[in-house]
Amino acid sequence: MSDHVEHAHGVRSEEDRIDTGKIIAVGVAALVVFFIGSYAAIAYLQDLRASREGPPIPPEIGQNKIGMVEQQLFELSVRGERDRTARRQRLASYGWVDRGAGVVHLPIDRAMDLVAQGIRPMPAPPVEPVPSQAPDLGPGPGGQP
Amino acid sequence: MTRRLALFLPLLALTACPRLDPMQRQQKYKAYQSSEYYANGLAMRHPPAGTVPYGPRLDPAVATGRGPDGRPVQLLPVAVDAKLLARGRQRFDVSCAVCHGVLGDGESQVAMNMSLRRPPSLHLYRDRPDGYIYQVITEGFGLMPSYAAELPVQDRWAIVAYVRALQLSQNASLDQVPPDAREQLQKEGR
Repeated sequence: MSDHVEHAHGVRSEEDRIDTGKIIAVGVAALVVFFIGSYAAIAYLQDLRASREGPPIPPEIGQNKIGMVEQQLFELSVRGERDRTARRQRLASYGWVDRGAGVVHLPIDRAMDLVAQGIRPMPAPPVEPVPSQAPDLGPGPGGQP
Repeated sequence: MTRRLALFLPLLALTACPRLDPMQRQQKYKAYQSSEYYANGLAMRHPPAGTVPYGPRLDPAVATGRGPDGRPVQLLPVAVDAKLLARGRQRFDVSCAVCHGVLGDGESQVAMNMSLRRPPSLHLYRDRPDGYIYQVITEGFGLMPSYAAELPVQDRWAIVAYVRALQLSQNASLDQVPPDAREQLQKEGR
């Protein structure tokens, strides 16, 4: 069998012959190089990570609320219920508000009885007046007020 | 084909009719419209002479919280009893405690999330007249809207009475404590 093919137009060309074994060998070699390179890169990055300290853990981690965002599931968030229960307990008990001044808190039922008898709450402490005008800083430059 | 088209075209023309219901647009007068049938040119009529209100007429002080001089009334113009206070407590917990807190001290979950202007503590308003608190409920104040639509007049006064009870409960003097509880308080620490 001849290596050359006779074409109709008379030009003789070399027959296309592909060596399959060489192609497979090149592919296998490329895979081997790829895996060796990948293993080397992984080993290098692991060594690099082990030699460095990790980033600091933010102090906000673990808190119930970060900024305005609640971090717990609503079903598990019981803070509002807990606060409300504590205030209900205060509303139903006797206790000191200011022992030095003799001010106490009463159960609301007792207070309602007293109000029904015509007793009014004590007046509120005087609140410092808010200045309605800017403070007088003296005459301005050039003697202008 | 021609017969089908003859049936289809009238149906198509019906879709162009704007109103098939003759009751949809009726001749009537609305408030403040003019009318040529009356001498003053207005369609609105005064009630006939001698007309009386269907329900009892409210005292202006009860309805507005203001006295004849236009200032807030100092004391509640309704009788304060246990029933009124119980009603005020129930309505306060529904309508007011959400923002002002169950103690009325302005501490609540809603208040915690109002970063710009929080609802105030009601205990700072112990000096204000009862009519002032009633007016705030009726007309609103600052970010607080009017609750006139949600709370009838009697409920608003009931809440005012309960607010007074709340103020008293958190700022009471020792002589308002029964003797047995007073002894217990004296034994307690600060």
